[in-house]
Amino acid sequence: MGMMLGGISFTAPLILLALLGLPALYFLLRATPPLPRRVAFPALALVRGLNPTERTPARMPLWILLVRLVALGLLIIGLAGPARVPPPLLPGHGPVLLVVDNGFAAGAHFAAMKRAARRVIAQAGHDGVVLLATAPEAAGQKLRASGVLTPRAALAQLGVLRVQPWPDDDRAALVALRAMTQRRRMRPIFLTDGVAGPGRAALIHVLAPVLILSDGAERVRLLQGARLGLHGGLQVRLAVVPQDRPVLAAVLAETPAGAVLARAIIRVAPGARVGSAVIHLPPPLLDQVTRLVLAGPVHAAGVLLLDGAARRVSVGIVGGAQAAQKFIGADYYVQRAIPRADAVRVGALGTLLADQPGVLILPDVRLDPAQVLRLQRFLTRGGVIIRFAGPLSATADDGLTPDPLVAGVRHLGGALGAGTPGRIGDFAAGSPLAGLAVPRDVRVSAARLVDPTRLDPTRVWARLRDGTPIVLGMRQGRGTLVYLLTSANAAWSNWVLAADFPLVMERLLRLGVGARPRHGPVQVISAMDGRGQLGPAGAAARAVPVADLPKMMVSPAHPPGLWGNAQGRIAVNVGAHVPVLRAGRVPSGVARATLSGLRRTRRYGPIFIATGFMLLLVDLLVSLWLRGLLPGRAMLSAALLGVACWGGVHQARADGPSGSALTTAVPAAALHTRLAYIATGDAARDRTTRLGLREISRLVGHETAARLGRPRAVVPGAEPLDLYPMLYWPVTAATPTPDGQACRALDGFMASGGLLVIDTDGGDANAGGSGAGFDPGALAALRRATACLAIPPLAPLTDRATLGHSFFIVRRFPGRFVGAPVLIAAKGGRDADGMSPVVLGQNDWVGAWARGRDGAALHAVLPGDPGQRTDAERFGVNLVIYALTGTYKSDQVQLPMLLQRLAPRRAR
Amino acid sequence: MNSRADRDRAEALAAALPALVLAARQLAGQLDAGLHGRRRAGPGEQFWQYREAEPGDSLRRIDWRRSARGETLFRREREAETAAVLLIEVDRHPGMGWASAPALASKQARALLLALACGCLALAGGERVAALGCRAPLVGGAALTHLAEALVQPAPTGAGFERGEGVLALFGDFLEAPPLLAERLGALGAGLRGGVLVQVLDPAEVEFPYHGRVLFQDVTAGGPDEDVARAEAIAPAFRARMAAQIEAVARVARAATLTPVLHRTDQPALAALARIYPALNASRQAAR
Repeated sequence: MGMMLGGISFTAPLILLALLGLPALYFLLRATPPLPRRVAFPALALVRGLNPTERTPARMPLWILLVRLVALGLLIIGLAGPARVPPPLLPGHGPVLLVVDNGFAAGAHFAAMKRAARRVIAQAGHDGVVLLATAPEAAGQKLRASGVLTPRAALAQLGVLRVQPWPDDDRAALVALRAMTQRRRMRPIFLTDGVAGPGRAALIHVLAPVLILSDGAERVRLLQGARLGLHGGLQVRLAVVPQDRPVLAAVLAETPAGAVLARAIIRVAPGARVGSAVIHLPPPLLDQVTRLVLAGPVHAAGVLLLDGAARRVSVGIVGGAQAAQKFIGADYYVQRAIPRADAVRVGALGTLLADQPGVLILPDVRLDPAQVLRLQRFLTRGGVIIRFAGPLSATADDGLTPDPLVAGVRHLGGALGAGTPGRIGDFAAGSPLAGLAVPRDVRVSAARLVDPTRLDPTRVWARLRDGTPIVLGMRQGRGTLVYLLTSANAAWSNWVLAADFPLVMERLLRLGVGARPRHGPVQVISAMDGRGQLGPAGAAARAVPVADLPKMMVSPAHPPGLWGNAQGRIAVNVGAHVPVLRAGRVPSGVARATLSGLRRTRRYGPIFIATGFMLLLVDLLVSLWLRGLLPGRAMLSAALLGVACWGGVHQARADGPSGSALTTAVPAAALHTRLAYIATGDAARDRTTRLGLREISRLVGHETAARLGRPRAVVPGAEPLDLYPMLYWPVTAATPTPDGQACRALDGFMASGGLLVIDTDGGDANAGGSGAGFDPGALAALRRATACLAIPPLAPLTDRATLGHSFFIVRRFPGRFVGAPVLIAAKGGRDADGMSPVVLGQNDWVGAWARGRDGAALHAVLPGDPGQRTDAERFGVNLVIYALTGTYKSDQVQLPMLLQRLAPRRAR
Repeated sequence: MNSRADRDRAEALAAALPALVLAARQLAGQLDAGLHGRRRAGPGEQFWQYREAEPGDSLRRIDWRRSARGETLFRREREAETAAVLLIEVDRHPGMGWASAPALASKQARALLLALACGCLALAGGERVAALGCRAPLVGGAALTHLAEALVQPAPTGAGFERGEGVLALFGDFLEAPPLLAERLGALGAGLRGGVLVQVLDPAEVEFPYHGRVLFQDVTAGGPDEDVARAEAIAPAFRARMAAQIEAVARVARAATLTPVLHRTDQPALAALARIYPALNASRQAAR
């Protein structure tokens, strides 16, 4: 440890001898004058002879000398490694025997315990450390103390020491201690979680004289027993050691992905061992919760895995208005027998199946073969069907039963009865109903009868006293089919009225939530580690009969986690499988300290060395300045430059990306959906286009929910086109050929989902339709203008295309003219959604749409047959809606077919 | 001696000449504006008499206002004047190129600026200027540029001050021993008609702001360096010596009928010019 000086020790005190050299250095430095400044001086003649004759060398300025000496002194002291070492924990010498608790109870504050252990190791220093952890790592592994470790090796071992999810094994630790030969000359320290366990007192006794480092058992939190409350909430309990003050802890409900869906505060009253809280969540969210976690560092004792017992079941009851009638309806009593936490829906079989319930209850329902087939599929996929017999279903045998039934009804009592009403005899052992109390007051007056020749006795879950099966059940696929052979209302029996019938229903409904194992051995499937993470189980894990599971204590051989067998899963949480928490008592006379009371060694060496170097740096700068090599202005400039650079960086960052091509006009366009057109430069033509589009925008607003702003003239390539759903491009012989930039912009517009409508002012003389001859050269102009565009292969537009019915149903697509073919992208050229990016016509649509301020049409339509203008306007609305919604309308037309095709896929 | 280095320095100075000429014109313009209120009629501008025009007279000489009063054409005759010659000399030795701080103008640059501004004012006054040692006086538009070039040329060896008529304007640091300076001025002979002697000094040469150990290097004569252990110790003595030198230079100058002007390069050039120009005018009046 080195030399001690008033609480400060030095790791390398010999270096301090170098301080003796400082006075020598003083004289040396003082004798060495600083280098002279060199100055050219024209008036040198006047200096000559002034120089004093005594040639004593110039002295080093005293303050520079002092700065250098102090700097060197600091360096020397820093290198000697000054440190303030806290007083030793233990008197005497010899290796420190560090016993560390790493059982589940240490989980919450294991980080703090490790920190304390590191300080202990640092204090032990060269005397060495022997480490012993009290919780075994795996089943069959004996606890063993390490050899005497150097501090470095001890720290490494401590680094890999993990907290375990099971209790400390004090007896094994005792054995390990006794096996140590040189224990007597060691200094023992027990870093403990403070929880009492079997053998703890003996352990402390053997270790004595021991220093116990602990924050006490007050920090231990144990999360216990989540179950569904009666009213749908998830009830959770927290166990602690009784304390004087109330204990508050936050519990988080997590999904498998780690999302926290709810948070609840548990308060444990002073002096109490257990507090509880209820987590309320809407049922669909509650279904997603797979574990509850204590806020803070995740550890095994603070994690509660949820299994089926804590999961909600969604139940579908097949019924209708008639079936729900009070007191006589088929599902009236069944509904009341279902715990309120579970989500119940009543409806027709088809809609219920689409909802994918966990359990389907069929109270006396007649099934046709198709329905039976669907129910079979439901079973195979893991559904649970609970059937009740009844007069309706008794008329025909549909085959959906564990064992074949005899047609008809067996009347057990009453006027026509074969005898007295039957009573429940027993519930078959090994069945889900096993263990339920046999109701004494139940009278079954009528029931369906199983074909005795084909009866499989293992499928009988309950019998009447005369041995007649009354409940049949079997697993089919992953699901379960249960048949109660009596009615769901009071007509055939009063079982459904019995006080304990809800218990029967509860047992049956639980079949629908990842079934829990009922019998046979279960073993761990995924084991929880000390930090609450699930992982593969070790090879040493052993199986346990399911009946013994509730009383099992977690241990390396029986780790907490998810247990189960082929029948299902069950959660084994630490909280329910460890002894009751009790604070361990420290015998009087045993020294103890808290974790936070442990002070760490403070090292001052780096500070000394850094300060020394800083002083030397200052000295260097000052010397340079004194010699004139470093003008003050240069220093100032450098400082300013640094500030400027720093500011510049900040400025650049604040500016962010610049150079956006957005013009000021764009925000206005972006604020409102609007149509756009490419101006031709011909004022009359542009006015027609603008008025036409304005009229169509107005019409769209009038007819549909879309509200469009005023149309805008755009120049492709000069401004972004993405803001417009539809771009109208009147092409005439006068239209200039677009340049490369405009072509790229139009191509981008089409590729990004815009609709480009290209129209001419009539056609060539030999073109079709009434517009022939109105715009000679139109075709050539079209070819010229669109030559550089990536226009997909075109096909004539028919009234069967989406454009024909995207809002109105139109059979023709006239504008000012009618008859010329309108072209849209052929099927292969449309985008992924099936939408054509371009519509090409020669009908002068805007000419037909355009109306003046007074509402009068600007242009006559040709040939002017009745309805031509109306059709033109309807087609215009269709165009806009097509541009806005794409093929949505087509999809809607196909909706029934789509749903039909999607349904089985979703069910799968 | 080291004519090569001299030529290099001259070329470096010549490169800066256009800017210097411009600065000098501006400087002279400032002073001109400053003296505007009390400007006297310049030489050669004075009206002398009217004379009847004769055939062959230039039409531009006709005084139309006078002629319109009568029937005879009159010609306006001005007073005939011989313009004085301003002889300018700027010391060129290497020490002149020195400045104690980068922000200060070198003594040479400042002396040239003042010299050119004087020349500019003289030319504007219709006088002739000449660089001392050169043949012909300079007149006309490009005179100032020619003067500047002549002033930075390495001094023609062996050519002393031109013996002739003229007002002298001498610029330099005049740090040589006063007897040497007296001898130099004496070599100008009796043809002198007064003038100014402008002693341009760097502030560091006056104040001697040095501390600690300083190694002073000779830039003028190339003599040995002077290693001063504690510069602050000799500062008072140096300042006294410098004051005595300035006093001696002034005395020598007055003896040679020159008005001494002291200028420090950290002071504005205009202040010096404002003292130089009246002194020159006075000398010219006296000489006339």
